[in-house]
Amino acid sequence: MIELEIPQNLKNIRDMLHGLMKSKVRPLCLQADIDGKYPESFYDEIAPMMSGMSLGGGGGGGGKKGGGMSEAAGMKNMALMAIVAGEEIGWGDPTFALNMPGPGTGGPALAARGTPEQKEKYFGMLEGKGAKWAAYGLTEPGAGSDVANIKTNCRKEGNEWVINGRKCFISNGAKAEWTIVFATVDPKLGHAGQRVFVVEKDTPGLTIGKIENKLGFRASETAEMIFEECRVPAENLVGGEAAYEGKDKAKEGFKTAMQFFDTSRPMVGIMGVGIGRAAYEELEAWIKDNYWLSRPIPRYAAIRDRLFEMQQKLEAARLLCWKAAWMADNGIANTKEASMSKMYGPGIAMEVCSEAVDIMGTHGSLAGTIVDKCYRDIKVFDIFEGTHQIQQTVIAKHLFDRVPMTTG
Amino acid sequence: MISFQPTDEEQQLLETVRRFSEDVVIPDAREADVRGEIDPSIRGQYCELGLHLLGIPESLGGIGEFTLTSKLLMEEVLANASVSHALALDSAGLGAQAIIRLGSEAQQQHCLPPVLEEPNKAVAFAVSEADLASHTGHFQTRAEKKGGGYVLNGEKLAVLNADRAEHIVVLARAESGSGFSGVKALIVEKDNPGVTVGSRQKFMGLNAAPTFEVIFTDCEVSSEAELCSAENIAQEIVQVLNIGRAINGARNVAVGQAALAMAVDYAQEREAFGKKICQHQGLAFFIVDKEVALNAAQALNYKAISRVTQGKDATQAACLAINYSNRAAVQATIDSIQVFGGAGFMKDLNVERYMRDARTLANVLGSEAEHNEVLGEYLYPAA
Repeated sequence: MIELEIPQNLKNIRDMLHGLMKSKVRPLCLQADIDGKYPESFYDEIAPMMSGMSLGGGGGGGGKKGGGMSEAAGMKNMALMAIVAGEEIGWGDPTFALNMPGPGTGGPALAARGTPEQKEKYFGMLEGKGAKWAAYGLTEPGAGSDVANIKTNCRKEGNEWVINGRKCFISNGAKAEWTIVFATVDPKLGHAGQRVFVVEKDTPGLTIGKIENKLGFRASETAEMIFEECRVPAENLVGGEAAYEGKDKAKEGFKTAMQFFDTSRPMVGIMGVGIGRAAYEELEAWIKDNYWLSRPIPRYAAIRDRLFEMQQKLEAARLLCWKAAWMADNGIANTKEASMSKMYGPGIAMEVCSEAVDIMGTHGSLAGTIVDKCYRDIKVFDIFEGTHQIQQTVIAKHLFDRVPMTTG
Repeated sequence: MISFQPTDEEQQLLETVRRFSEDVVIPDAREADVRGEIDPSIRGQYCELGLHLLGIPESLGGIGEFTLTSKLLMEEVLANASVSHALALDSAGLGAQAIIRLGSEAQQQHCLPPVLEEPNKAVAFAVSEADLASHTGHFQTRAEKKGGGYVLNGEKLAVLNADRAEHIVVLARAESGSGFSGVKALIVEKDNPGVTVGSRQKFMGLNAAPTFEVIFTDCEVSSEAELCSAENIAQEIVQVLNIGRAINGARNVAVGQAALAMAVDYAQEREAFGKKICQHQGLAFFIVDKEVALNAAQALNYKAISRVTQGKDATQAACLAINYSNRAAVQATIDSIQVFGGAGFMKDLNVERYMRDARTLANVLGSEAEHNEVLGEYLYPAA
């Protein structure tokens, strides 16, 4: 039976989270956007309420134990829970997703590919008092979309691996307790040469470069990580040596990299929808207060048509994300659907934010408003976790399945 | 006759403006965006080159061979370097155009030559209001007749260069009427006790172009303040706005072009999947679409301003031009960031500034719906 209603338990989570966003996050988010971070008090008050909730958590992230919220939702619709939550987070402040203490972007790869000892140690490291984060280091100055092209290299010396190279645009890279780092034993081998490590903060040879000053998404830390003869113990190779040996295992590093995306892409898609919805709601309220009450009918109709088109796009995008999550929860391969949700959501949300700024006229582009912030925040959602163009490539490969597609 | 060729004099002028942009404006552009103002010494250099005199009649100190078309071409070059600078330097701007088109000889001589001689003075133009239909003639700011003059009450937003304005040209409603009929254009002197230049307004972009709230409280002006020497006041006010539409359209296209030029450059350097990213057809077509839109928009702006220069009504051409230009520019800036990927989102590159500037500039003379409303009123006037 086809039914597109959120189950009651997820509605409860959605409403709780919406209340939290409205009462605790929204009042701080505009100042955090200027400062580039949330105040310490934010973590003291809010983080404990949110333990176990972490980006990509629906795909097997989260803590060593299931978090409070995932238990409440029950295991059978964890991906959908993440999606429902993600929209509210996008609505409140999308940087909240990455500011939440926990394994965050580093979680899914370790959860899926780590050895039991690695999971025990590194998820355990994030528990206990105080806000702690993990990170995911894949992107390099010369390799973004083209993941196979990473140049950060690693070589084994005795019981250690030695890493050299640079990672950029790493969310929480400077404050992470540990980071999942991708490197290659030989760039010529492509995916097959890649190895994945857990690198702890303060490992000698690892330095933090610049913290980026950005157009939007400003309250989330974006760091450069520099590896110079950085030595990590052999047991920090994610999944252990055996995982990278033999013919079938040759692409283990790449698979680890991609593991993240089937679950994170719908999450990024739905957060984009949340941002678009935030801008839309601001616009609608503004119009009610300032526009249509005193206006003759034809002008009202022209604006109304644009509002309806925005609503229609947001709803279509939301349903694509729900479908991708539903497939994940039901064990159906969802790579194509994950890409469609990631491509469509942020794409239309960018349009919605731009329309909101336009219709609100001079007021729409005023600095320090939710709409201004939405317009600046949304852009990066069409870039990270695989650009719009990468999603198109993935979708094309699934669509044209009788002819081999050259990449791009 | 159809020609897309600037005159010889204009080509020489544009060469000078290009050098000025490269030597003076571009080095200040990034810093000015952070600081929130342009390097004030640039104003003197701009005036020395006579760039503030384009589109001003010779009798008021202008240069005969340079029309508003010349000004638009100059603004394209300047806005390509930094549109904040183009706006901050435009001391005469639409206020001066209103005085030229609607004012008497005496009003023109009183207001313009002294301002044009002094780089730090300006004539401001106060049109925008909080109300979303303020650019269609629905002004909340009222001008009530009192004695021979008027009493102004209301609040204007986003008034460019109001802080250094000697005179502020204000649009206000005096009588009921559709569109701009019943709207008066009045000159308010800066030392009028009824006018307050309020706080600086901060926008998402155009950071170095200073705009202010201007509040009129029982602001009395004499009959000499009314700009009423034109035959059809409402039509001339719309024509002044049309000049603004064409020039802002051109400025925004230039912002889009600046962003797209960076993307085109980068797409020929950056490699992914074993080739230059422009050699991936999907990405090449993505960029090409924006190039076509910007070219089309530029042609619409040229048509609109050439109608003004020829003394013809430009309402239809200008409304088409600004809406298309703003859409093309906003999209080009958003998509140029896309070409850079994550690097485009960072403040180290200018491309993120272009995205903020294009979106903000698109709203300066009103939203798309307002321009459409003016066009609708023009094409299908209320019976």
